[in-house]
Amino acid sequence: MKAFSNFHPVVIFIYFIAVFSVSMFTQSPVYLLISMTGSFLFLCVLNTVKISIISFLKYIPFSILIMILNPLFSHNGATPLFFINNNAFTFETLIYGAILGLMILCVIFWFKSFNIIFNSEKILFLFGKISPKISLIFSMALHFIPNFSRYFNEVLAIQKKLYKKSKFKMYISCFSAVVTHSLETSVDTADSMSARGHSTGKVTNYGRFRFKTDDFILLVSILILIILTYIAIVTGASKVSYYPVIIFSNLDLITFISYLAFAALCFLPGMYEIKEDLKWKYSISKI
Amino acid sequence: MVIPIKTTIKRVNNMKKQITLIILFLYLITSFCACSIKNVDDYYQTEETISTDTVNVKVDCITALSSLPKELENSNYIPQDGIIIDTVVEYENGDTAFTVLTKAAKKDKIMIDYNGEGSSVYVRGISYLYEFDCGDLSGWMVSINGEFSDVGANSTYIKPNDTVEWRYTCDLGSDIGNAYTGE
Repeated sequence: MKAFSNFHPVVIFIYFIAVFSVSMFTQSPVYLLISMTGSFLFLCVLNTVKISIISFLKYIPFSILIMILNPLFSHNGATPLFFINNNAFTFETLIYGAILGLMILCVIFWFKSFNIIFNSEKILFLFGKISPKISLIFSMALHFIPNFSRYFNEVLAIQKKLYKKSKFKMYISCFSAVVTHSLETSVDTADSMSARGHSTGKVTNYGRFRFKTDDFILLVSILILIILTYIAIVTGASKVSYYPVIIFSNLDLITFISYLAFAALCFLPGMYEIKEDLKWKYSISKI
Repeated sequence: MVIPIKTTIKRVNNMKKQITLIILFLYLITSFCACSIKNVDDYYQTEETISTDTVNVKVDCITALSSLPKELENSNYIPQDGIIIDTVVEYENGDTAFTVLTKAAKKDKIMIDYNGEGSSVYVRGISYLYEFDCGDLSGWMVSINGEFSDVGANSTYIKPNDTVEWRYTCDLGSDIGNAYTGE
């Protein structure tokens, strides 16, 4: 159920850049809340709802920690709640900390779905033409980490059945075995690559991605939505200033359109997945 | 009765965890007690001391008036003439340019923001006007009787009847008569 990943990698990459740029660089709570709900919906569709809620709850203490730590290091703000060691603990810094926590939560959640959608094949396709060597190394490194952890767990399971060592000793011997194995396989890989003629000519790669009309429609709609969003951000119509007092700018037409456009942008992949899912279920029910 | 080794190991591990938790908790409580927490009214209450010696304290940001950040324009934090504090506070033995500023700020209920402790105190902002608010070369500087000191504000000891001036610069001191020569 990853209909969104069937689009062209360039389009998906532009989509994620657009969403990331707004979530990372605006400090307005409205954008962040929209972005948060959008990413949560997308992750719910990609994973199950239960897993998404559990991972959401896992990260909540982290953002609360940021929210409490911010007032301890920054003392700006017009309404002090109390004074710690003659430094003000203000309401504004607390709110700003909460916004920072929400921002980090947003970015983590978008990256979670980015990880699922954007596999190493797409990375190789996107950056293979610009710099084939770096993208090859990058995709191999990305491939290496899950491989390493999977093999580690296999060896650990065997060791647990065979020996009754202490946990520390077991982990150490597992680690050394896995490192040896990965070194060996890397030599094997290098051998096999040179046998197949690597570094004799230009590296080409096969991409099964074609730029279809659907991709074009999605790309144009993403660009229109992000431009509409950025009009309010660049002109400062949706700016929220936190110090010395929190001032929300008035909700005028530009800001409202910007919020709507960003909401459409954030809910787009989740909605698309749900639509494709319903289509699939409908066509199955017809058989 | 024979207790299996595994369960004893588990118990020991549990105990270790509990002990570390208790130590962490105690540490948090002691560090919390070490902080002095005052509510707003207590903080701004000035103690009456019987002292005949006084110090003049002036805080101004005349240089910043033309390029104030948007949030501070037309607000009551920065007065029209740019003079934020102009008072007389009591002198105590061992007063520095920084302690005198805190006294004056408490007296006039002006907000100050600083980093560090002891001799490394650095004043970042007074009355919501912060360093770098008016460009990369802006910040607060202190002069005593018109002379700028080369050491930290909390290491600049003062005498009775001195005039301590905190001035905002937009050009690394050259606009208030303390040009940086790099020596």
